[in-house]
Amino acid sequence: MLNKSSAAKLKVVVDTSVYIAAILTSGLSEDVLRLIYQGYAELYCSDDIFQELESRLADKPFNIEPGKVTLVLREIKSRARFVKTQPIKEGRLRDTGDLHILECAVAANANLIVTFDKDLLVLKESHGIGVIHPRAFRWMATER
Amino acid sequence: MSSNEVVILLSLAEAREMNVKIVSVSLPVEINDRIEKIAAEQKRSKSQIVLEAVEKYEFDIRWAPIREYGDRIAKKLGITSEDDVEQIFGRKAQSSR
Repeated sequence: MLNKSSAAKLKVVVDTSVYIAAILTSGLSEDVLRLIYQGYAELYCSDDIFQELESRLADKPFNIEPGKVTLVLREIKSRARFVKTQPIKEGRLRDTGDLHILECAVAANANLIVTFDKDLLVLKESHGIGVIHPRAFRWMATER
Repeated sequence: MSSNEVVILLSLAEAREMNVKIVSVSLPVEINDRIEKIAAEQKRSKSQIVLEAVEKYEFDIRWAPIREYGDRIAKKLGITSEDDVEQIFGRKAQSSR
C-alpha cells in the first residue's frame, strides 16, 4: 500500500486519457483521482498537458461545453503542481505526440505516469519513470 | 496537574511538530460509536478514519458536478464503460502507426 506520509509520497503524472475517463465514467480513473485527493500521491502537470486536455475535451468526439471545460481545468489546477518542461528524447515512443507527458514526468522527477494510452504503456519505463495503467496504480494504493 | 492533563500537553506538542491541529467536534454518540468501531476493525486511529472520510467527501462534492455532466456526454456518445474510453485512445494509438 502506498504511504500517505509526505516523505514517501509518490509523484505522478496523469495522462489526459485518465482525466477524460474520470469525467465520463465511474471506475478506475475516478479512483485514481480520488486516491490523489486522499493524499496517496502528488499530482504533477504541465501547460502542455493542460492545453491538450482542454482541446481534447472541447473537440470531437467529446465536444464538452466551454463552461464545463473550465470547471474541469480549475479542479485539476487546484490539485496539481505545475512544472516547466524541457525537450527530451525517447526514441522508443511510437507517437511523438505523447512526448509532452514524458517531458512533464521528467521535469517533475516523477515516479509514475498513469495512462490508458497504449503508445505510452508499451514503454513500461522511460527515463527511470514507470508507465502504468490506472488499474496498477489503484492496486498499488489499495493493496494491503 | 492530573496525568490526563500531561497527556494532553504532550499531544499538543506532538501535534505542533506534526503540523496537525487538535480540534473539538460534537458528534452524535451513535456516530462516534461507529467511528470507534471502524477504527478498531481497521486497526487505525479515529483521526485517520475521520481524515479519510473528509478527503473522500471533498472529492465527491468537487467531482460530482463534473461526473453528472460527464454522464450526459457519455450517454450521448454511447460510452457505457471505461473500456469504451480506453478504446477511443486505443484507436488513436493504432491510427498513429
